[in-house]
Amino acid sequence: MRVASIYSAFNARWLEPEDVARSFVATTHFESLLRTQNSLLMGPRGCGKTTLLKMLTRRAQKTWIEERLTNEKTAQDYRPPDFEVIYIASDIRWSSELDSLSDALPASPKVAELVQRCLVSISALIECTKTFEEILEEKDIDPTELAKKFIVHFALGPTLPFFAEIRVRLRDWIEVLQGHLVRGDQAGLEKVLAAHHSSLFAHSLSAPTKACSIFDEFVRTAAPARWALCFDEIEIAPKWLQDELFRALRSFDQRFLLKITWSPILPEALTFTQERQHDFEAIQMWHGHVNDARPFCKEFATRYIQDKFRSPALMPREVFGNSLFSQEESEGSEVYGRGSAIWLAMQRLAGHDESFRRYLEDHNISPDNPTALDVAVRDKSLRKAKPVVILREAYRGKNNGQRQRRSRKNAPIFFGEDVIYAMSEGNPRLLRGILNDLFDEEGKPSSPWPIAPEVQSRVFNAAAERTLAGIRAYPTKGSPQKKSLADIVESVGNYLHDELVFSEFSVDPVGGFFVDGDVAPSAVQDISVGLLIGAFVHVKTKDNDLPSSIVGSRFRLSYMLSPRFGLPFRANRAIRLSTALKVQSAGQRAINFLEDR
Amino acid sequence: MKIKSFDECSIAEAQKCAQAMIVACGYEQRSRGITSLVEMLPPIKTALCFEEFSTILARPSNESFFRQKGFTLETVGSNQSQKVQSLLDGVIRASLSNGSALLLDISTMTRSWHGALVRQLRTAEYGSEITTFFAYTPSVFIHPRAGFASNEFVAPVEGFAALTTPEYPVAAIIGLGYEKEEALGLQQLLDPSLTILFKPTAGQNDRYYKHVLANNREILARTPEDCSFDYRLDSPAETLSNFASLVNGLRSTHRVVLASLGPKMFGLMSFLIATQFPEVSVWRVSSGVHGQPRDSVADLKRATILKVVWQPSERLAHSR
Repeated sequence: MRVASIYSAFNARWLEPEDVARSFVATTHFESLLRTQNSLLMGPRGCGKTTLLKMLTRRAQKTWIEERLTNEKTAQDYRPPDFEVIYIASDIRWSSELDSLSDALPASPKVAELVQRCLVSISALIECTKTFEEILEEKDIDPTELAKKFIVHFALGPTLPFFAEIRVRLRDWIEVLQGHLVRGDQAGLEKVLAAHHSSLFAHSLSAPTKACSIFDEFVRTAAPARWALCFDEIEIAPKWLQDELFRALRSFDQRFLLKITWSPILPEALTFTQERQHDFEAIQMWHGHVNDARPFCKEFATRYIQDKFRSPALMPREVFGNSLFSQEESEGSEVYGRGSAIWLAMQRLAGHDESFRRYLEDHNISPDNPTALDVAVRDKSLRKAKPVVILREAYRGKNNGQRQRRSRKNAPIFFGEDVIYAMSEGNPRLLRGILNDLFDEEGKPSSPWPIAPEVQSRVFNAAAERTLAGIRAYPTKGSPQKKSLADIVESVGNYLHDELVFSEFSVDPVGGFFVDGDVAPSAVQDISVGLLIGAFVHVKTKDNDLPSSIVGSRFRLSYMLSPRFGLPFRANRAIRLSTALKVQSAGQRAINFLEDR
Repeated sequence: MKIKSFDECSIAEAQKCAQAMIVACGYEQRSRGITSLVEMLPPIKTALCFEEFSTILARPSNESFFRQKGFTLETVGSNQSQKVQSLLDGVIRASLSNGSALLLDISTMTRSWHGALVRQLRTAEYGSEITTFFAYTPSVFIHPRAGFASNEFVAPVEGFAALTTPEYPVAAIIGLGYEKEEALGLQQLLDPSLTILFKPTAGQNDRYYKHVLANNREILARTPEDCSFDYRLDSPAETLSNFASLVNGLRSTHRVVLASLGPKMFGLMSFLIATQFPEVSVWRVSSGVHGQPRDSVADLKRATILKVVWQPSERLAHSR
């Protein structure tokens, strides 16, 4: 059974704003989003975009300020948003259903779009009414007059002047539209559409901005300085909606701000840097390098375990232990000392891996006693080599370089605090999921900590397999011969593993890829989906590097998949994707690769 | 039309009442299963022949079989739901004068065709009651496929997208099949707040059930016991009744998605339920062109029939 903790809920979408605030860990992304400007929240699914948008809402802000900013200084330093937020939800079911309208009306794409527009407007209006109710209730203002104006100006027909009644009325309209769609009654559908208020079919922002204007006009005492319309999951919305919102980011009524979620690739319509700086702020919510997300992960995990076990001093390191992959500067000499786990791994590997043996000898380290007293040598030669050694020793057959995959079921290598943080990619939903699974697997609190490596390893492997199952589920259009997203992920994963484990030993093996011009357009499209669902992660090549196209950009596999493919948590050198795919297709390893570092 | 009643019945009862019969003619021997059990075939007989894979495995012999039995063969694409609707409409109208009762062998039809049959019955008005006998026979056990086939479709079935605004969380009710991790993948994609699983069972020594458990180990382990149910393949009416109660209980707090990955009878029930609760969405997961055809033989001892009586509905006034 799932653990009962406000930190354990998987998806912020289904949390009440108050609960989002109670489990929220503030980041620099949040500070950016609070600014009085348009924002484009870019990142893969589950990276916390919904959480951030919900944190801007009135209800979340109230809880955040009253319950979480309890320290006087932090409360004083905090500047709440100077805009009133309307959060407009979406999800994959809603998007797929909007999409299905095109299939239902194949001969009339214009009518299909009109129905989509009507549905999107109704959804936005429903959310407006909820926000209006909250404002009026808090300010103790009778909502009847505003409701009456709403009914008149949206031509709702005979409706009692309550916002709940208005919502019922709006939902009825959807049912009527659906009834005609199910019967394939296009004439009836068009008749109903013609009877609705024009703001439902005009610009996608017409209905919500009109609703806000009605509020401003008739409840002047409670009118905010600005409204912020927060559209979630625009990355999977209909194209016309995306286009209209992007255009609006550049030029729109000054009384309104737009906060929009998007995938990790900058939309084509917004690729002009100068305009980006002035019109909106692009907020990148992914972490190309493992250490970037560590502070957030550590704070979240600390809150999670302290809340779960009601133990204010309990720390993640105690509960999960050290990771074999940890490469902290502060690691002491004992980590590499004679008889330590890494010393044993290096000694064993040197016994059957000629290239590693040569590497040690080239660095004046004895293969029989791979230690270094000199800190500089240890850092340069052993600490850098550690992750590669662990994986080569774990997966490489003893027959000196023979490609012989070994199962890791009995000797876990993926465990420890740093593995949790790395696998989560700093993605709150993934991090919650891993932590929930760990404590579900463990059953009840361990004593003594840490959780056994075998248990952790089992949980992490299952999480990796689950991620791959999710990737496999994504539909692939095209001929039976076309490679699917899962095929590409597996080809890249297997290629990187083979390079790491079976090539000449290197402390800097191939760890990622860049999409070159020889990659088929259909594969480029799949990679775009892979980025959105978090199968791939963009790796910055310089600060403020916002990818504006897939081709030419550098990526790596999600660290969530590392246990599945036996890969480290480092964004090493990159290879051309077309080369990796060709090599995997041909069932042979690459010898030559292009570097991008 | 709307559902008046449903129950299980025997082949003998269906045979006695049916004025028309519709079957699928594909590459599986199983296509012939139900027809081979009917001693006296009704006067109107239509075989929907798949446009795809029209020359492989048992397809040529199936075509000969149905021709010999007096069926009219109609070629239909596996996703051509409009054509299936139109053919069903023709069959119903042709049999109306004798009190319309239809025997429909759904065993090897696609989910798109199932949706089309139910949608036609749901949306058309014929002025009198219509009885449908949905017949299903599982195949003699064959092992699940090794490896994973890509999906071509993961989406609402045409006519069964509910269009409810995203105010409430999603509950996914998944009829499990025995393909490895298929349900887990769907769950990952849909990201529901609540998942409820239905596992098909045929009693003791059911090899299919054992594979359902083994190949869904991960999703079953992550689903609380009170959200995981067994259902009897040979008791479709009881299953439909329980299934409908569950959906009825959830629909006020969740946006329900129904998806069947296992036996076709459960998929058909999803469509029947959606006729009662229009806010429920029915999805299909299909490998489509990426699937590899495999032959299967009907397990005739386990044939079941769900009898559904449809009555004219009072057409709601949809004008504002």
